[in-house]
Amino acid sequence: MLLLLVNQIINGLGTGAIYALIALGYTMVYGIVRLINFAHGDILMVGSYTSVLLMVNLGVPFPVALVASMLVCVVFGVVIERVAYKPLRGAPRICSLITAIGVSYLLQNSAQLIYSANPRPVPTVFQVAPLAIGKLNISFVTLITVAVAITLMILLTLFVQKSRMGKAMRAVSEDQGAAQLMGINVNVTISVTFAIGCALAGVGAFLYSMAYPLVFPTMGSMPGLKAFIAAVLGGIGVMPGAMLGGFIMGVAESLTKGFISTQLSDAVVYGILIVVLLVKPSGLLGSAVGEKV
Amino acid sequence: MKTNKFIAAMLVLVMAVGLLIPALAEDTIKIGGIGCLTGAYAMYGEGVRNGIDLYIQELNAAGGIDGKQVEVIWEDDEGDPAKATNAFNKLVQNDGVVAILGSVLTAATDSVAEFAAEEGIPMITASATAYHITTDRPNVFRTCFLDPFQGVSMANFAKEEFGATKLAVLYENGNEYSTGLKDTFVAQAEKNGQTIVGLEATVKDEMDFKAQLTKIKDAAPEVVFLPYYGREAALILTQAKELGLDVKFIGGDGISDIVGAIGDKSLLTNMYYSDHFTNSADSEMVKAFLSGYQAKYGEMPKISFSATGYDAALVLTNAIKSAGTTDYAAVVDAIKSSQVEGVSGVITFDDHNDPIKSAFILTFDETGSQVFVKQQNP
Amino acid sequence: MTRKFKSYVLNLSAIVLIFLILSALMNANVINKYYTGVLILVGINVIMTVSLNLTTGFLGELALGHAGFMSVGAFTAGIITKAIVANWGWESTAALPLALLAGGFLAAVMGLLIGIPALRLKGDYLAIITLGFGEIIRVMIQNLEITGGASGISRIPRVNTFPVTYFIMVAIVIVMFTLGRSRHGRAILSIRENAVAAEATGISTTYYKIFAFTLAAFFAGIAGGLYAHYVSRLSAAAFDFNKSIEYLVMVVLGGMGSITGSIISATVLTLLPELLREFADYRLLLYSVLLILMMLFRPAGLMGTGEFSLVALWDAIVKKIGFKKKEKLPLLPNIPRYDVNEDAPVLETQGLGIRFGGLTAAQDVNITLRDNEIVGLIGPNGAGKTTIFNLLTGVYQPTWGQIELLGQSIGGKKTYEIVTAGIARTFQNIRLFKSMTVLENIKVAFHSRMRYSAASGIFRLPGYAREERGIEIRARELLRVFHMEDTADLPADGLPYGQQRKLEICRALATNPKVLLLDEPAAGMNPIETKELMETIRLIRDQFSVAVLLIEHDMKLVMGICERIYVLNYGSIIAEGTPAQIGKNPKVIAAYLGKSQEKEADANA
Repeated sequence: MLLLLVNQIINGLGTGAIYALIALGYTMVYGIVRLINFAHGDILMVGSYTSVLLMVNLGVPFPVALVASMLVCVVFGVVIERVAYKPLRGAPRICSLITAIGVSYLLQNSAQLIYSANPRPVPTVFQVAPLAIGKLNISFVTLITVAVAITLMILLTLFVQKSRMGKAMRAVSEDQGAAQLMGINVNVTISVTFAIGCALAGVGAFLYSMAYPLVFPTMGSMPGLKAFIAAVLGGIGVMPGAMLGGFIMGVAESLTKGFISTQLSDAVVYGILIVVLLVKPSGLLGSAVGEKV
Repeated sequence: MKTNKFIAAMLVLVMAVGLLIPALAEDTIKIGGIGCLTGAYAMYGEGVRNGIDLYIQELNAAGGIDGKQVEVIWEDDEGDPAKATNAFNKLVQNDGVVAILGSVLTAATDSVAEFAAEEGIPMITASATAYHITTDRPNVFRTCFLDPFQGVSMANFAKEEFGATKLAVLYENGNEYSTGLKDTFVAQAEKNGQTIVGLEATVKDEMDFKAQLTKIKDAAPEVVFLPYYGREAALILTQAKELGLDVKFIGGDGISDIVGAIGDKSLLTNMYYSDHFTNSADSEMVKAFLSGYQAKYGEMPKISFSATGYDAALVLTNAIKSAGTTDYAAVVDAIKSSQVEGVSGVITFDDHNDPIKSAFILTFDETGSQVFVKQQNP
Repeated sequence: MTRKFKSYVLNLSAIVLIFLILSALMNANVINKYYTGVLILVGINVIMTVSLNLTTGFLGELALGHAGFMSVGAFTAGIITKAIVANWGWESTAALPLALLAGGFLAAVMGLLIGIPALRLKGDYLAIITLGFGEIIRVMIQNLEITGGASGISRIPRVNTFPVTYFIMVAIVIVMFTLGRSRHGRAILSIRENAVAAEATGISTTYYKIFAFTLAAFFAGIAGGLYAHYVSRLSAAAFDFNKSIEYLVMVVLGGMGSITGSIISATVLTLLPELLREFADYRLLLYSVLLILMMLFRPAGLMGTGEFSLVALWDAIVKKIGFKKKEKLPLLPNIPRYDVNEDAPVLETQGLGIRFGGLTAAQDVNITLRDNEIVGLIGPNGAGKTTIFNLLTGVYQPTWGQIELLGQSIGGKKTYEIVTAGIARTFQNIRLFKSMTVLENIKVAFHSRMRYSAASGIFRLPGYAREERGIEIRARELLRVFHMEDTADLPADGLPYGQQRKLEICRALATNPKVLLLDEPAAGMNPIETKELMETIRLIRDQFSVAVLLIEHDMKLVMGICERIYVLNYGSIIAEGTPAQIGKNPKVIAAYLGKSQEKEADANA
């Protein structure tokens, strides 16, 4: 029983780490432009296809493929922001939401036309045996994913707290107009935010396709949605919140499946989310922003 | 300003209606094809379409039906019941098709069948394996075997081939195909005196099966039943290996597209599944089908529904030929009494309009090539 | 012919005409079963879109689980029809109305459940709750025996015909229109525009949020029932998140808050895939590109918040002079006479105070307002003046002390209840219902004094018409007092600053207060405007018989019109008296000039 519990927690941490990585991208973009970027999961799909095609068709070694897929994600993210989201900055937020949905459909359907709906297998990169501690097996991919996710979160928090660009990002997120008056280039700052968020999606894509070695056009929707929920659960706009939300989602899913019900796991997870939000309406780490009267 | 907008919208509507006006009838026999040609399950729709188009091409090359060419008009339903009804109505009302081949996924096929039953138009599905599709619908047939038969076959196979007494089942909750197979498998296993030590569910689009597999591993079964499509099954086999769950896996016809989806083909040697068709059959017809398919599409069939699709087209056109007319009732009667040899076996229909045919139990070698294990007769 | 009468005649004849033409074409088989089927789905989608517009467009809350309500309605209706036919042997057509209502009802219960979190949450957090709720509904349906588990329900009698869908759709659209033009519709709209101001003008935001969610769910449930009885086959998987998004897209493309926009976009987006059948492979690609382009070039949607109007079309085509017609006397809103005891104060606080965590923002505040008095509340920045207003209007609940209005305690009451009891306010930063017209802004404030029910509004019963005509007159009268009658039909955010301030005061007065709280009314005004404002405030006191308590930094104004002044510093009253007394009070001078010149953060900012 205990072994099972530990096993399920490890499983959960593995998935949670991936949710967290994607949620980081969500939360950064949200924090700065208040946009739920529904296309974020599809950027993940683009990244996965890039690394798989490079590795399988061109025989590129995996570090190169990883960097390339990050770059492709960044290019996609920045271009999408410039073309589709930027013109809508002043418009009601629901417009950019719908545009994001449009972009998401566009990416999925283009991928389907180009690569067909058939899933493609991902080659195994890490031929490493699982880490065995007693009767406990921890797969190498899980270890790597958790380590990478935590490292990136720390680096990112440092970046946002300490660097010039990070300060600019925080300023833009507080008040775009005021930031501009302080001499911050808002457009560049927002582009950089999208770039970082998408680079994270690129890393996430690589790890995701290592953990679940299949790529297909709609692969991004499910992790995208889960990551979005994780970001909200942790308090959207707050980076450690995205991390916490991701891990909680992963572990909650895994424990629900392990000990409550595999049939109702989705309902239980959404139930947890609803209860958390009712008790703490701005997410776990989000600060309550009451409306000033 | 607003008035202009309204007039513009009305104009669009008028043009819309104009475009929808049916084309004039020609001297060909038109058959309607319905399937999920886009969306996440497009590969199943494509597989069926490829099989049907291949047969019709061969038929036309050989002179068609009594000198008339046969044309299949394809409509996409995206696997959605409501969209399937639109596709059906469009084919019957606007294109004047004389019969329907399809649809592909169970829910969409069920709604099409309901509409088809009202019209009395002959309909053959190549892939909807749920039992109730043809119940009380005398004009609806299929060329694939049924979920109950598969579930029973695989439970028996686990017992006969592996002597397994402890079984586990992982299935997709909310998926009709998967839960249907699960139910009949579990029922038959209990009848066989086998114990179901683990019964775990997953949800749609799930990628991570480790939590469930961990529980299953803990229950220590000898054989695990996977009523899934290839995409999920590929992930399950990969993750089972990661967790060190080393048992035999068995599944239904959905597994047939697993080869393209799995990276480590050696995992497939533990996978056994029942299928409508085997590439390794000796018959001349199967060989001709495979080489014809290869020639037309440049690859081997990815799923066995290409074969059942081919057979559906064969059964339907034969029936039209022997009826000598495209009259609905005459064709339905002709289908009902047909006895033809198709690529997936000899096809005759029982009282429930289901084909009486065998299942082939298959597995793979390390390179992912299909290996024939045995034939399971009804 | 009045405009209203013309609109009834025109719209009704259009509805009947469209139906007759379509039926004739169906009989002649020009519209065959295929087109009929598509039209039925158009009707169902129109209901879904229009009802989602109620929550997303009118109430302004993003809802991502609308398909969930549809599935509840669909499954309930399907199960009930099948059960009735099987057990009681009814004709399935006879069971249909019952099944549809039951489906709508159960969906409404779900809507009620989801409306409750909506009270605490808003924006993206509420959106995700609705998403989660929709998914939970789907999982439940997939796991319940009665709903057929994963296989869903098959062979529901196909008794939904085109006339059924058409007339139900028409009925729901009419309800949405009439509701939208009633006091209840205005209340819902005002929440979208500014929830705080809505509450402060006497709207129970709680009630109307739940009302909107429940009604929208009810309609979605009906649409679900219609769907079930047309397609005959239900599987919960078809009502997933993507389906909800599909409807959301229809609402936004049509224009949030525009019913005709919803109708057009639902129609076009249902027909479009059928027209694009030739390009099956590229259909979804085109759809997504269309979506992006539409948002980039027409972010407000097809119709924005406007409506297409047959009357306007009629007027545009036929230039015609209207007749005058005698009308029944309008029912002017009931203006309660407050029971004022000349000697007793109108408003009195005793030992009022509040603490936020460790910070005491106000303590031991005793304020007394007598009838028809103009009193100033002054103090340095951060002294706690707005906090006092928030305590008086129930935005904050006091930690200590009593508030009595006309001798009755109002402690613990909600803002809208206090407004009804007789305290109205304006805000430091103007809070108007921006996209509503000036007249509508004022009409919202009459809400609490109107009596007709939602049903009366929907069916336009006599009570509705008389009360609405009454407040129209009163609202225009009120505007005339402020010399703003010409602006009545302009959108509120188009007014110049000074007039926006005046409109806010005007709106507060429309709630018929006994006490009017003005929070920095002269802020941002030039000296001429300020002078005019002083006249206005005196005028208000004289004409409307209210006591005025005002926060102001402009000393000329305060000294010029206030009869008494309270001075607040660090949350406590440090002085009280006539302007002359206050001007000489050493404590006040010290507080303003500052002994140590220190400034602290605004506690109640």
